[in-house]
Amino acid sequence: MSKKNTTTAMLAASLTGDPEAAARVAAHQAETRFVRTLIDMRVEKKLSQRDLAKKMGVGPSKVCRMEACNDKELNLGDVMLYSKALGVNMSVLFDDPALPAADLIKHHVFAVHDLLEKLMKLAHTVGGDDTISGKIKQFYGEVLFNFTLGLGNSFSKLPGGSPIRLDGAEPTKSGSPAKSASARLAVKA
Amino acid sequence: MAEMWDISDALAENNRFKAFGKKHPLELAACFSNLDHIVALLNRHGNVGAFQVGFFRSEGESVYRIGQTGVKHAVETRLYVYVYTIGRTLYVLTIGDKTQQADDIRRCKEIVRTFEKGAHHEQEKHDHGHAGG
Repeated sequence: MSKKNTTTAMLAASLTGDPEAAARVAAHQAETRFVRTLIDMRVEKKLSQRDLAKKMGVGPSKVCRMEACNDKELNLGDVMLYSKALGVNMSVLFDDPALPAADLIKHHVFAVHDLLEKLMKLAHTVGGDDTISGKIKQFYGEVLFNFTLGLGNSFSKLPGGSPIRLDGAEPTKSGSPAKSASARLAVKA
Repeated sequence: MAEMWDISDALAENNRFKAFGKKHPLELAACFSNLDHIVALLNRHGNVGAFQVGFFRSEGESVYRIGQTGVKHAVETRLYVYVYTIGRTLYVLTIGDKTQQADDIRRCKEIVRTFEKGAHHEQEKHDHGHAGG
């Protein structure tokens, strides 16, 4: 009996006659998610294990062992070395659901601000009249507008809140600027 | 992105999976989890030559072995698959440990040869039918 268009978990359960096999496959996938991401990044960079080991300054067996373990067994120092050898920046986000929403929002807003600052520096690097800096300026403007419009819509829904209006723009009925082209701002470069 | 790959058990030695799954369930699960990763890589990159992964090795004649990872004190396990490139399908064949490796590979290659002979025969019939009008 052929089973195409199925998942590997379902296939394992079917072949063994054991429904629990599917759960075990899913559990293994959950336990090796980080390792799998490392491998995917290496493959994306078209590097073999041997190539990467050379860049890391370690023997090939080290990379082999890292990629053969589960997430809990990974050493943070090794992961940092691995990502550095790939030329990939590593950042860690701790998402504490016990934190008040306000703290979480602040965290993400500061992260967005940092990224926009990097974009601003890039615009200066490539020169003020360059096409790239023009596009960055345009993108910056759109982000500012859509943020203001989106957050303004949320603010207006607060008890006692009032709509925030931007020159020449109406808040959309859906309250979501991304869904309405008319609510977007086209900023001339 | 490349065309999507399928997985199939049409050529699988079902009894081997039942027996092995009872004795080494975690190793079997790990191999199938790694199979899932291989399928994702094939979907992303198109063919087996486009990536190198430690637990995925060629045994010749389009037969590949997928090893287990991330299982403490694991029995060295090999899940054998047939990479049928034309049909973009991975056929699961059999599973075994290191001691059974030579026999497993031999049987897998026989299964693949039989399948490819049948596929070639069907193609010839199709071509002949077309030529006859």
